[in-house]
Amino acid sequence: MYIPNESDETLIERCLAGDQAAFEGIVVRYQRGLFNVAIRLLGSYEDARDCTQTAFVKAYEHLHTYDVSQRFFSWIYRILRNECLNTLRARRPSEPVSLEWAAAGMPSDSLMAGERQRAVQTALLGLTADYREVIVLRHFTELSYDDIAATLGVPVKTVKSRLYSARQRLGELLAEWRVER
Amino acid sequence: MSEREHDEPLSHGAPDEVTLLLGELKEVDPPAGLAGTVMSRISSEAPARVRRLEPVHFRGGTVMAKKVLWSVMGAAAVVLIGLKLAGYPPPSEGTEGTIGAAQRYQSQQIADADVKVTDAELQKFMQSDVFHKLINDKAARRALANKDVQKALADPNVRLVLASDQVRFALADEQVRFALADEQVRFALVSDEARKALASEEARKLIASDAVRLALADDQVRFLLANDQARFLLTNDAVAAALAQGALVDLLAAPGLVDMLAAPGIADIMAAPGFTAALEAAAQ
Repeated sequence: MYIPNESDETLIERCLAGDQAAFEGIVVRYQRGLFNVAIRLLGSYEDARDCTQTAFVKAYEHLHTYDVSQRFFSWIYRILRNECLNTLRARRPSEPVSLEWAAAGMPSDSLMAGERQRAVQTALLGLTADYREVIVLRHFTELSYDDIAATLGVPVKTVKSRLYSARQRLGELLAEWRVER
Repeated sequence: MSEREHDEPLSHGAPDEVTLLLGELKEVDPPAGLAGTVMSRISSEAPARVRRLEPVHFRGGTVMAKKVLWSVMGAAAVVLIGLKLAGYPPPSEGTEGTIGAAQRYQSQQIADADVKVTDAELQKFMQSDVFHKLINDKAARRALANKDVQKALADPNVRLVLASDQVRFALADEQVRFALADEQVRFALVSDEARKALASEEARKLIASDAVRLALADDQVRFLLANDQARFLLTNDAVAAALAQGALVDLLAAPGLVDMLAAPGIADIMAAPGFTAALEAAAQ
């Protein structure tokens, strides 16, 4: 059992003391954020699910290596990122990625909006991994520039310049939609 | 290429169109039962961590730990890391003795006298994220400045691994890093017994990680693991600490790093005695 308001530190301490159930609190707290990062990085619902699950399992297995002075999200994000990169490398270039999930839940009268969302996700997948990552961290998490820099291990200045370039590239890829909006 | 130092919208005032388009993407609900699946997997898989170094029996009576196998690619990773960071070709004869404590307290900075910025590649490297990471990572600096590491890197056979893409893929594998952080694993890995076991197909089949499995299938990697200098490097604490910290692995995974380090100008700078001394001074 875990108490929803327990801090990350407390939950982790309990885990390290042998209370496996306490880790569920960590999973519940971070599953939405990590899954959404994964799905934006990978474009595949199933791959995102698998990578997120595996990242949590690996985080638990190596919890004793976590440095409490850093944000837990940053630490587990790096594990997730490696999982995502492994998945991307293993993916065949010719293998199409289903983006049906990208427009899931859209009202039937929002076909254009659904198509646009798929186009944005497709454009994201068209970016290099570096660019895609920084876009995803900036727009789909609540991390600050400082947090993103710490997570990626690069200076804030680099985060900003990379983000700028990534957004420019994304704008090029989405030129058609920018006109039609 | 000129890059702006900020990512503000292209047009001032209202959010630009890219921001608006990104903002239209809704949050996706995680799969129902994800937490339950994770906890179930932890219950069934996580005890493996407690039973670390669980013996695995091989044909012929050889006994070793499964995690030792995982760390095999970590061995190659260590060599690769040191090699890339220390430069190619290796320091010229006589520089080995001058690196380390003798220059450690000179508080040198990387200056023109030590570093001859002679070409565009060098400039690019010095301004790269990779170089910045190196300068700012204490563990990386210590590994780089370590005399034993540089000695091992002087071995031409070690450098062969640079050509292996499989090694780079393996570097991104979390299992490799975690396994190599384990002192018992590192020392087990350099045993003759471990090396013999690694030669068997059966051993490779036991390895769970695709990245490591691919790497082990690489002839250059296997050749490297039979190299005395590479094995020596594995027992180096500074290298292990740097690997466990993870920043070095991120460095090596950086796109284009191999190409950058292959440039002659960059090789010169990394091999310069003042370079490592300056890194050491910065680490104080």
